[in-house]
Amino acid sequence: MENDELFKSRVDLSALKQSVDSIKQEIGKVIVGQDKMIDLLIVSILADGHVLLEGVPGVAKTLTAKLISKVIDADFSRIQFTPDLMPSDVLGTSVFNLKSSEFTFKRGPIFSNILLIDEINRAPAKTQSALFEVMEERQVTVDGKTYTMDEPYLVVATQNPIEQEGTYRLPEAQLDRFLFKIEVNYPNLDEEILILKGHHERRKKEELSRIDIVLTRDQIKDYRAKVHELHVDENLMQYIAKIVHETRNSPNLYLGASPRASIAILQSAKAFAGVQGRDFINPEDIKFVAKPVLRHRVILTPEKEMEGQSVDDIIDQTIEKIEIPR
Amino acid sequence: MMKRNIISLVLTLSFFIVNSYGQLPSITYDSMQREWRPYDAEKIDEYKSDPDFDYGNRPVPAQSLWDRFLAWLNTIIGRAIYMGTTTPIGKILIYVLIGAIIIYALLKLFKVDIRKAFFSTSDSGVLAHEIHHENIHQMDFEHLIKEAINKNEFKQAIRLIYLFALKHLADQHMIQWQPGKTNHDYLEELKEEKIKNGFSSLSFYFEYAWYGDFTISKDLFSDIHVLFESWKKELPE
Repeated sequence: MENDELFKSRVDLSALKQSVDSIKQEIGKVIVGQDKMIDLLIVSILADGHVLLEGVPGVAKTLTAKLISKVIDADFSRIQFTPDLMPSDVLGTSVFNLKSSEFTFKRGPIFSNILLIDEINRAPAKTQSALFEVMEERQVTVDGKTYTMDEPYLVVATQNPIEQEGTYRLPEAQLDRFLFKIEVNYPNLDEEILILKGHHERRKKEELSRIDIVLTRDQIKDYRAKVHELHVDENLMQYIAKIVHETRNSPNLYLGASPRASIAILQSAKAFAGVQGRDFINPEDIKFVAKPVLRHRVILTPEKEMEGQSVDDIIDQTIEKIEIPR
Repeated sequence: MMKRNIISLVLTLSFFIVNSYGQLPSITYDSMQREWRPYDAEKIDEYKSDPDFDYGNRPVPAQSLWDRFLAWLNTIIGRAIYMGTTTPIGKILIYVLIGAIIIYALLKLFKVDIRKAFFSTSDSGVLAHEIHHENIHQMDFEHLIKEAINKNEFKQAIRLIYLFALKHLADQHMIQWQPGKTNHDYLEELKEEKIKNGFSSLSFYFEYAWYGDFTISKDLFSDIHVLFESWKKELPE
């Protein structure tokens, strides 16, 4: 007997799975490899969370973010963060209208569906803090008036971990507002050869213009609602809580994760299960999303940093200690 | 002209001063009767014998043990400083001492355990809370599965079958049993195709029954039980 007949899905995820396959196909026209990054980006769209892409220059961070905006039929804007950028450059500002003799609000680039912030760590904390409200509450308050953002609202930010000169460390409050911090690594040898072949045949430019829209705003709303309905076993909720709780008790971590991290793991695990066409989550889904959810929310103790341990190593050790509920 | 004016001014002032002495009042004397009081010799002797009025040097009491210790310490430190500032060995010792104090302060500041730098410590410490609820090596699976079937608790029975399968694999050293490993991790560890496929099916049923909360009918459970028994036969003796 077929497995699909044995356990008939309680939530119809067929359209979602089809859309996900189409997105991967479209992005795959330009991006070689980086499957995990693309999976996590799709999950973040479905889990209604913002993404921080971190990687060395030249690993297609900005290109991927642009491609994501291309496959979704939504408004897109881009801000290049610089040290002299002011909050009003991001949010917008009130301008005096000589004709009507009153101030009118001129909207900044933040008013969009998908906002790409390139090199987010180049702006000082003052400008970073302008993003707090919009990232958490999907609204902006300027001159006492509140402007609500249209759904979907997704911030995709990029940063370079190596270059430290002229950069600012993102405030903890802002880091906590990102659903994932995705580390974009170098491609492997085979992927590198494919990139070279694509470049040699000048396919990249043509295909970038041939990227089709595969997801509408309404579809995203519908898929998000479906993801929300997925079944979560109570033991797995305890498992998530134990992981996050353990980060607070770990002697290797100076700062543990917040309850927002627990919610982020739950929500993104559900989205990841939905992407695979499964209407319930399993420990595999939780482990897949736990590291990108936690790595920017915890801080190593100075002694572990001096020992040369990475946050990912400590998160792995912490998760491996916790028994999978069976 | 100037000289003549000064001379005339001096002469005029001299005239006024001499003239004013002639007008001083005459001196008058006190005519009151005075009474002479003699000293009281007894009182003076009394004051002399009163210790409160004795301002002479008193004898210093003997030093206490603590005072002597402090004095000894003072002498030792004094000598050490003297040696440190005058002899080369003393100077070296002073530098070593200062260096040790700075290193100790830095280690305390960064909370570094110096022992860990020289001796490896296993970091597989016990968690803050109890996580191990069951030990698959101590469970009587045959009995527990029968019990679950008799109670028509098929989900529980599937779970027990799955744990039993894990125990078999761990006993055969085909997997490394660790509480934090997922079903997929164990699947990846299996090399033999037949065993891997059978275990993959068991994992699938377990996940849908246990995490997915799907209803398991008696017939479906029977099929899964048969699958498990045939899979068990594939395992090496």
